[in-house]
Amino acid sequence: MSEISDIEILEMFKQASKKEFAFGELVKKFQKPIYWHVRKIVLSHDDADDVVQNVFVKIWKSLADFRGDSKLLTWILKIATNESLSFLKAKKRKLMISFSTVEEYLKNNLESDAYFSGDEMQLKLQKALLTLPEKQRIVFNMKYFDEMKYEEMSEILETSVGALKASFHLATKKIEEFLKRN
Amino acid sequence: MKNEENILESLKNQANPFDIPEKYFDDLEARVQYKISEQSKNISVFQKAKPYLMLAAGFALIFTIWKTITFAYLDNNISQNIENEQVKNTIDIENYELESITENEIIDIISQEEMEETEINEEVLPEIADKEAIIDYLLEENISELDIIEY
Repeated sequence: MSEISDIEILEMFKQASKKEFAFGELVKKFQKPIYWHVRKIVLSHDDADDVVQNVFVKIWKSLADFRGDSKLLTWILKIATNESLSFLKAKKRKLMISFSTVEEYLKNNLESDAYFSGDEMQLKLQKALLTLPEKQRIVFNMKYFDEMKYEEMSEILETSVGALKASFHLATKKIEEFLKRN
Repeated sequence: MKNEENILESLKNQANPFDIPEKYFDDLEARVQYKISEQSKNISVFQKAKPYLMLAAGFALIFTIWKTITFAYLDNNISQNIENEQVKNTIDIENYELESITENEIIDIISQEEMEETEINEEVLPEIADKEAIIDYLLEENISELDIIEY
């Protein structure tokens, strides 16, 4: 059976009788790209699971307002990015009480996460990524791991292609220096 | 530097270091649907209570406005009442004084005033007497009445 198209999902979602079915199809179609996008930002599986569920709740609430200016996945990844950043911001506020940083929290999560099976070098790379500013880290993830086109990244992150290229270049340099030092 | 670049290249080709629980994606849809229905329940409780909450908010607003106006009016009235009270007290005191004075006392007061007036007249009288003496003297000295009047 061929995968349901975005247009079909959107058309069915508009009909009250097919709304839940359409949303179920949307979850099936986009759950993996959403999960992996979020997971690379929040790192631990448990946090990613929370964020992913929130992302889908947001999509359920606002899909009727989707105007089709961009691809459905681009619109969804924009929501996922914003939700992940909001999650980290909320964590930062909580961590301020314990005088820890969100990077410290993420590093600890990564080291103790039962669902991280990377070797020493992969762990070192993730630690290097944690030295980057949040948005630079997201840019690096999208380009390096997902090999996403700058144009698509530009739509998701609402940043110019030039700025994204510069950000990725800078991120790569910083990571290389980190790996050299450690 | 070349070495670090190679590390990045080699890491890129390695397997994904992040794992997920087995069959995680199999029941994600069900969990999402459950979360949405739970949130809808919470929302519908709020939706049901919304008209009552709106009504309560309306009453609270009216009460606040009424209270503010009443307070401002009362405040103004209180100061007005205090002034009125002071005037009333003064009148009452005066009335009390008048009520407490008997008719005889009033007559006494008037008589006393007349007495004082008489005393004043007596003080003036010598003067008048002096004037009469002067006139007599002038008449004796053949100074005409016309001259006296002119004088």
